[in-house]
Amino acid sequence: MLPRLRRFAHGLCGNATDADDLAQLTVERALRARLQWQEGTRLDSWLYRIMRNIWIDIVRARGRMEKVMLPEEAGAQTGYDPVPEVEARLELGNVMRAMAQLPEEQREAVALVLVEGVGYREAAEILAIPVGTLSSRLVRGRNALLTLLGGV
Amino acid sequence: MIEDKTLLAYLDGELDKRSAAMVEAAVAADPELARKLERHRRLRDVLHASFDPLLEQPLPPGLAAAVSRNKVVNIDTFRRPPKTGRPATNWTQWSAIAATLVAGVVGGYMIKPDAKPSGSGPIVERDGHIIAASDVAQALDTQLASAGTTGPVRVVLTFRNQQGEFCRSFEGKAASGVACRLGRDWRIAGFYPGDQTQHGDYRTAAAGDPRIMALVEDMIEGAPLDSSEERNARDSGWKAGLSLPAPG
Repeated sequence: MLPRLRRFAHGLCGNATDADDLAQLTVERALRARLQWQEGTRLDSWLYRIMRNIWIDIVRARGRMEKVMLPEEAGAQTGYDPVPEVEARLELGNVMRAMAQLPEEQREAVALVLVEGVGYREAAEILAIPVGTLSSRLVRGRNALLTLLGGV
Repeated sequence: MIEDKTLLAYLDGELDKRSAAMVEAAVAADPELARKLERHRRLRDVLHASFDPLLEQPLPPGLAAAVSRNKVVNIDTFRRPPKTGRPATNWTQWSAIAATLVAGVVGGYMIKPDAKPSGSGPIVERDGHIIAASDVAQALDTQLASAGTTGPVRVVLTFRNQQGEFCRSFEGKAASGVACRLGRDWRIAGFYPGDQTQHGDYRTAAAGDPRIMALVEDMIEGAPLDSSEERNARDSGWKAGLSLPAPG
C-alpha cells in the first residue's frame, strides 16, 4: 500500500520532495486516526482520501488555489515546454510538471483513475463528487494533458 | 456521435458490454475517433510508464521511519483494555491498518478483513487476529531454526513467551517478524518488511534484524530452545502445554 500512496502523492504534487513529504504526513495522520477507519471498508480508499485532504489543505494554505485554477487554455500557455524526444516526455519529472499544470480538481481525478487505476465509483466517493462530475473532470484533465505533453 | 466522456469511460473499462460494443462500432467506422482513442490510450501508457517505477523504488528514509515508529504490531505489548472500556476491536483495527501498511511495503499484499487465510499473502487476518499464512506459516510449522535452512523464509529463533506459548522469529526477503503458536495458528506478534533493496535469495549470512531481536527480548521467557527441544516441540505439534519451564 505504501508505494501506491507514494505514487498517488507524486501524481498530486509537482515535485518529488513535496510528494514524499505528503506521503509521510499521510501515514502519520492515518496512524493517528486509525480508530476512525471502519472495518469492512476499503483501507486503500480511506488512505487515498486522507492524502487528498491533506494535499488540499496544503494547497489552500499556500494560497495557490486561485493561481492554479486558471482556465485550461491559460494553463496550456504558461510556459511548459514539451521536449520532443519520447524518452524525455516519459521522464517522471516532466510528466509531473505537466500534471501540476492541471487545476487541482482535474489533477486528483486523473491521478486516481489513470495513475492509481481506481474505478470511477470509488474515485468519486474518495473525492466526494458525483460520478458525472468525475467523468467531466477526467475529460478536461486528459485533453489538457495531451496538449501539455505535446500530443504524446 | 460518441462523446469524449463515453470514449474515455470505454478506455477505462467503465462501460457495460452493450455500450462498449457501441463505442467499438463507432470507433471502427470513424478514423478520427479511432485516432482520438489511440492518443488517450498512449497518454494512459505514458502516465503508467512514468509513475509505476515509483512502486519499485525503496521508500525514502523519512517515510520508512514514519511507519517504523508506529508499525510494530506487537500485540503482546498492548495492555488489553478493560471489558467495560473501548471495544477490543480497536486494537485489531489498528493492527490491521499497521500490518497492511507494512504488508503493502512487502509486496502489495493486503490483509482483507473477513478473508479466510488463503491466497499468497504472508499474513492474513482471521477473527480479529493477524496470523501467518502461506510460506511463512509453512516455515513456522516445519522448519528447524537449528537446521540452518535457506529459502524465502528462515526461522531464526524458537522460544517461549511469558504465557508459555511457543514463539518463533523469522526473517525473509519479503518479511521478518515474530509469531506465537495459538491453537493451530501462528499469531503474528510483530512484523516488519524485509529488505526491499535486496535481490535474489535472502542472504543467509544476515546477522539478524535488530528490531526483531529487540522484540524477542521483550517477549522471551527463559532461554531460547536448543535444537533437541525445538525438534521435540515441532514433532509434538507446537503444543504449549508440554514441558513448560519451571515457574520463576
